[in-house]
Amino acid sequence: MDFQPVSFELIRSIPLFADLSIQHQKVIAEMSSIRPFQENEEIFHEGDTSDCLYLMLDGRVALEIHIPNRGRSRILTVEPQEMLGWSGITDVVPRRTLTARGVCDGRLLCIDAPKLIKACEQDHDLGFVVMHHVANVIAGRLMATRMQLLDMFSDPSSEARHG
Amino acid sequence: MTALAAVRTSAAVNDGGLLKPSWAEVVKIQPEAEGIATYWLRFQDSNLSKAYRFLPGQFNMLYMPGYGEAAISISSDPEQRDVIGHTVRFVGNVTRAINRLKIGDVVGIRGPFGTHWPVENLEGKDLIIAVGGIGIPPLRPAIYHILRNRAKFGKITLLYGARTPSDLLFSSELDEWRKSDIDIQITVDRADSNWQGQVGVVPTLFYKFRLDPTRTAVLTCGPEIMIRFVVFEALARRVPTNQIYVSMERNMKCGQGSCGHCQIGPYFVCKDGPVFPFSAVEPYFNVEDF
Amino acid sequence: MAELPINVGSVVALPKPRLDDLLAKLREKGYQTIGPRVGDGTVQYQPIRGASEMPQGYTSEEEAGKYRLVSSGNSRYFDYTPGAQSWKQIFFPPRITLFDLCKNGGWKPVGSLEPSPRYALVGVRPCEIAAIKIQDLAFLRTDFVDPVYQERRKNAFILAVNCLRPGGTCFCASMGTGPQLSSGYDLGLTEMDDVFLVDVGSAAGKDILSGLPVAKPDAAIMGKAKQAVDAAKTKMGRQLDISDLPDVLLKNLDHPEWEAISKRCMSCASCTLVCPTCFCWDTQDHSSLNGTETERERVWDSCFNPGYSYQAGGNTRPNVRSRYRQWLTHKLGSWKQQYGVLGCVGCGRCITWCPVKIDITEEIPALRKETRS
Repeated sequence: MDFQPVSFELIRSIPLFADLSIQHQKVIAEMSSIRPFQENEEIFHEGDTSDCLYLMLDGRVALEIHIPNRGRSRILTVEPQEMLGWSGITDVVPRRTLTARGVCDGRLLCIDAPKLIKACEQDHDLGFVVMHHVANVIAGRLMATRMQLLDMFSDPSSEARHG
Repeated sequence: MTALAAVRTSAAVNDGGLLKPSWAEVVKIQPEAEGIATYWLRFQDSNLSKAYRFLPGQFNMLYMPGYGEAAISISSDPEQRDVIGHTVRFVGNVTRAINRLKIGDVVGIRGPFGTHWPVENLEGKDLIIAVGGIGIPPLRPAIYHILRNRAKFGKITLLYGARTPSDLLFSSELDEWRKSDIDIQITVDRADSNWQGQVGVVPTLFYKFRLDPTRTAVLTCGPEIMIRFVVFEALARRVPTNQIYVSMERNMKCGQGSCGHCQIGPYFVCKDGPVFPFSAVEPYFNVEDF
Repeated sequence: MAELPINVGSVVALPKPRLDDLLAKLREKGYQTIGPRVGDGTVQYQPIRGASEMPQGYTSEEEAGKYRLVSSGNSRYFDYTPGAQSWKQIFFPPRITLFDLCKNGGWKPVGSLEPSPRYALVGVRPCEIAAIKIQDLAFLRTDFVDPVYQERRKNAFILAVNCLRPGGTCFCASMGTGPQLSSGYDLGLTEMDDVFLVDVGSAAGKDILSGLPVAKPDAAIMGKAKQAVDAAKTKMGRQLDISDLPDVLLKNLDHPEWEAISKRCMSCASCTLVCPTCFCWDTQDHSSLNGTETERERVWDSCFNPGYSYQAGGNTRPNVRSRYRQWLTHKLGSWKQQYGVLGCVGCGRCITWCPVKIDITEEIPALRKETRS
C-alpha cells in the first residue's frame, strides 16, 4: 500500500471541511494521507481493526458483506465527497463490519482515527464539527438501510394480501 | 381543486360509457426484465389507429375477456402513432393473462385516461426525474418528449432505482439518453460484485448533486413509499410543492371517475390524476391507509 | 264535475279511493309503476298494479339496528318510513350486463344495452328525491354521462309524497332535504284522511291528472295539510349539526374515534347498500366453460369490501378503521368537494340497518370532540 502525504490546500478544497477553521484544517491535514486504490482492490476487510476514517476523493467504492453459501453481496456504494469507514471513530463498532472494495481506480483521503479522536477530545470545537458530519453520514446510511429493508421493488404478487 | 392545473383530455377510444373496449393486436412483445415485458399494440380499426393520441403519463385500460381490465400506463413515444407500448408487470389476474398473449393475439383497450406530466409547462426548467422499479415506464413518454425538445429544457437528471441490476428496464436506451445530455444516476438495492454501478436507494441520490430550487421541477413515480422519500428530499432542498409532480397508484377500474375505487380524498386518481402536483395531494399524503 | 283548470304549481284534491285511478293512468300512459309493498317484514319497492298492494294501515318503528312494521290503526298508505331499499336500485341496478362477447374469429360484441321501461316511482319521499338529485350529479356529469343511469332516469315519473310521519332514525330536517317536498317531482302528494292533496310539479304530472276526478281543495284542508307538514319537522328521531362539515372530518383523519368505531364496525357494507346515494360499482366477467363467451357485468361495490381498495402490491385500506373512515369522510366530507353537496340526505337507513347499531348522528359529534393533539 502506498500512502501519500496530504497538502493543506487539498484539505481546504474539500467541501465537507469548509466549516472547519484554518487551524482545524491544518490539524486534519497533518493526520491524513492519500490512499490510492485500484479496481477490485480490497481497501479494508470485514473483521479488520478500524483505524482509519476515509473520505472519497475520486472513484467509487463498494461496501460488501460476504454471506456464507451465497457469496459477496454489494449493499452500498460510496461516491466522491462521501465519508467511508465511520466505524473508525466509534467504540461500539471497533472492527470493520463490511469489506470495502474499489469498483474502479480511485483515491481516498485516509484520516488516522486514533489521532482524530484524540484531537477531538482535546478540542471540542473540532470534535463537534467532526461528530456532526459523522452523525449525518450515519443518519443517511440508516435511512438507506431502512429503505432497502422494505424491499420496495420486490414482486408484490408474491406477498399480496386480498384483505 | 384549482391546484389541478394539468389539462384533462377526453378518452380517444369511445367506450360508450359501458366500458366497451376497442380491439388491438399484439404486434411485438419485448421482454424487459423478469416478470416485466412491453406489449406493442396496434388497433384493428385503422381509423382509430390514426386518430389515437395520448400525452406522457396517461394510461389505458387493457381488457382481457373473462379476466377483466388493468390500468397500464403507456410507455411509448407520444409521437409514435402506429403502435402503442404498454410495459406490464405480471402481478395480478389480468396481467398474468396478458403474460400468456402471443404475437397476433387480441386485447381490448380503453383510453387514454388521466392527467399527464405537464412537460409543456416545464420548458426552461431543470428537471429531476426520480423513478423506481416499474415507475419508469410512465415517464418514458415524457423523456422522449424532452429528448425531442432537448434545447427547450435546462439540466435534466434521471434518478433511477431498481431492486437488482437485472431488474433495470430499458437499459439499452439509457446510453442513448445520456448522449442527449441527460445525467443518469442509476442505483440498485442490492448487487453482486459484478455490478460496477451504484448501490443504494433513489432518495439518497439527491445527496450527490446540487439543485437550484427556483428553477427545478421534480417528476416522480414508483412505489408510494419511495415517492414519499423523494418528495422529502426535494422539499428539504426547497423545491416548491407545486413544482413536484407525483404519479399516484390506486385501484383504477373505470377511468371515468365514476366507479369510486381510486379515490384519494376529493380526487378520483383515474381522472384527476394519476399525475398530481404534490401540493394537491399533500394533505392526504402522510395519512395512514387513506 | 266541472273541469278544474290545472297548471304546474296547482294543488288539487284527489279522493283517496281514486289513487287506483291515478296508478292506472300511469300504466295507461306506458309507465311501469314501482311502489311500496310489504315484503320480508319490511317495505320494498316492487312493481305494483293497484293501491291494494300498498302498505295501507302500516307504520314502522326504527331505531339503530331495528326496523319493525306495525299496524298504524288508521287507513293511511304512507305512514311507514321507507325500508332498506331505495330508488337507486331502479336507476342504478345492483347487477346489469354491460355487454356480452362471443369469440368468433375475434371477440365480437353481442347485443346492446336494452331500452329501459319507463318507470313511475310511487311514494318517493323528499329525502329520496334529494338522493336521486345527488346520484344525478354523480352519473349525469358534464364530462361523463352514465348511459345505464341516463336511460332509466330520463323518462321516469316521480310520484312523490310529503313525509308526515318521520321515523326514529330520520334526520332529513338537519340535512335540509325534507320532510317537505320542494322540487324534483312530477306529482307531489300530501296524504290526508279522506283525500290526497296533489301538487302538480311538472307538465308530465299535469298530463297524468287530466281526466281524473280532482277538485279544488278548501282552505281548511290546505291549512290542516300545512300543519301536518310543519309538525313533521319536529318529529325527527335524530338530528345532526352539519355546520362544520366537511372540515370536522377531513381535518380529523387521525382522530382516535376512527379506531373506536372500527372495534364495532364489521365492515359488512350494509350501510353502503341501503344508502340511497352510494354509487360505487365494480365489474365482473362471467365466462362460459369453453371460454368462447363472456359476459361483462356491472355490480354494486362498497368501500367496505376488502377488494375495493386492492391493487397490485397490497391493499390501500387494509383495515376496518380506514374503510369506515373512507365511507364517512367521503359521504359527509370530500363528496362536497366533488359534487358541491354532501352525500347524505338524512334518511337514517345506515343507522336502521346497521347490525351493530353504529349511528352517524353520534359519530359526527364524537369526531368533533377535541383530541389530545
